[in-house]
Amino acid sequence: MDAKINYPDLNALLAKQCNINLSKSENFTRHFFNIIIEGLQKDGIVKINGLGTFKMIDVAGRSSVDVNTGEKIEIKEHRKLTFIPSDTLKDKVNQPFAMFEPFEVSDDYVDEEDNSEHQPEHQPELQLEQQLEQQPEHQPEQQPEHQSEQQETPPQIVEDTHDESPSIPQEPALETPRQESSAHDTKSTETCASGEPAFPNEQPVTESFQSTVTSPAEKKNNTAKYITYTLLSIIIVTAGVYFGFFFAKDAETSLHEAKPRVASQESRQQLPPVVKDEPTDTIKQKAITPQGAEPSSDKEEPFVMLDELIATHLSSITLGDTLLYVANGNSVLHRVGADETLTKISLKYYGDKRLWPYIVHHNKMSNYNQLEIGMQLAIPRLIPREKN
Amino acid sequence: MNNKEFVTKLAQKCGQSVSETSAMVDALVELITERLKENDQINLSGFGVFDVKMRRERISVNPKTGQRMLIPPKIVPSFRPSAKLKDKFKDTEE
Repeated sequence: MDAKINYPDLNALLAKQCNINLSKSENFTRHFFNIIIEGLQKDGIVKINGLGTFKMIDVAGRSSVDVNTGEKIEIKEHRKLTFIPSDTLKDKVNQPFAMFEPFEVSDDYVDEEDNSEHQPEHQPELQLEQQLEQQPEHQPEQQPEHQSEQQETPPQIVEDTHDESPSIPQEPALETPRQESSAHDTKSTETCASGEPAFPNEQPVTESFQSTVTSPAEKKNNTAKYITYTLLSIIIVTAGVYFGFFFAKDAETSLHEAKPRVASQESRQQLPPVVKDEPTDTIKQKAITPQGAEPSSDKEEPFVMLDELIATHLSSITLGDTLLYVANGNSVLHRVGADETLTKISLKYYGDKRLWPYIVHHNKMSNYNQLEIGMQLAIPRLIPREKN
Repeated sequence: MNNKEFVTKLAQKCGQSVSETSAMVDALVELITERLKENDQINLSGFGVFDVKMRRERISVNPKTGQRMLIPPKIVPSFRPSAKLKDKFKDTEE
């Protein structure tokens, strides 16, 4: 495994295989490679059955940049030696992966890298919903990479929630499962890291691939790890589902309680309850948006009256880290460009990347993971919900 | 130079019969293949290095049809000529 074999080793092996003495095999290998060189010098091509073809190819001159000095340099046209392995050699080397065939992927396939780009920036409340949605389908395949991403996010999230809403009763309860699951994640990433000695350059992309990479000797070992993975992910999923239900229920009840109060505008005394229910409110919206986003209308109406009252204060209020806004009308139409994410757009218009769910909600986007270039997004005007 | 010419020349150099040489070539090729299968690196000073490379899976798009294919990961044999060998060919050019 990963051993380096040189001339003496090769000679010894050949002598053993052909039952000849060492000097004869030394002589043979020396001539073998010398004749390849000779043949290349003479014809420019040497074919060896079972091994492949050595071929000289012409490389056209091109200009390049010196990596050290940054100067432009000219690479002259030259001949280069290439080796094209024969099919038998290729097949034999590729045996561990022989069962894979290219297959067509559908358009809504989301590249893992795209996904992981979004992940760290997701809103804290959203994280849970996302986990709920993603875990059942995505986790079995994408686990290693996802988890390493998530592993970094939870601590930051915990801080966020503390800053924003110290009065929220549910939040502390939520932090613990998240940390727990992150602990799980760390564990599983570690196991995954130690499980790959065979190909250090290979990232464990998908589990099915990973298990095949390793040699038969490690297969048993890996099966154990695979089982550990599966168990861990089941635990995480169950925890996610449980807390998701718990949370959604709470959100629903507090939403119903709060609505009439806000509408009737007895503002001062109700401020604490309003503050309290807002983040959960966002979650409720989030949970619904993927299907149809109907609750928007009945929620927005009461606040329109409030908006007029607040409109005068609007200029003096900066959009800050609280999430207590109401979408009101389109201020601008935004055309999605390359390399843009919802968070980037949100940052551009509101100065806060966490406000992107309002854009999703306002545009009734069914799938906020799929932002297309050239898409028209209405950027809603956000108005703070209550006076301070 | 094809395989037949190669074996003939090798037989001449080694002073062996063609059939014997052919068998030895096959044995050597077999050896190299076996070693590469084990992900070993075959380092031949003055000639080059045979080793294997891991290619990750990727998505390729057919520019004509727009069809997106997931190309599975694979292990490919590769050969890097040594600097000495490269120099040799440089000399012959000039």
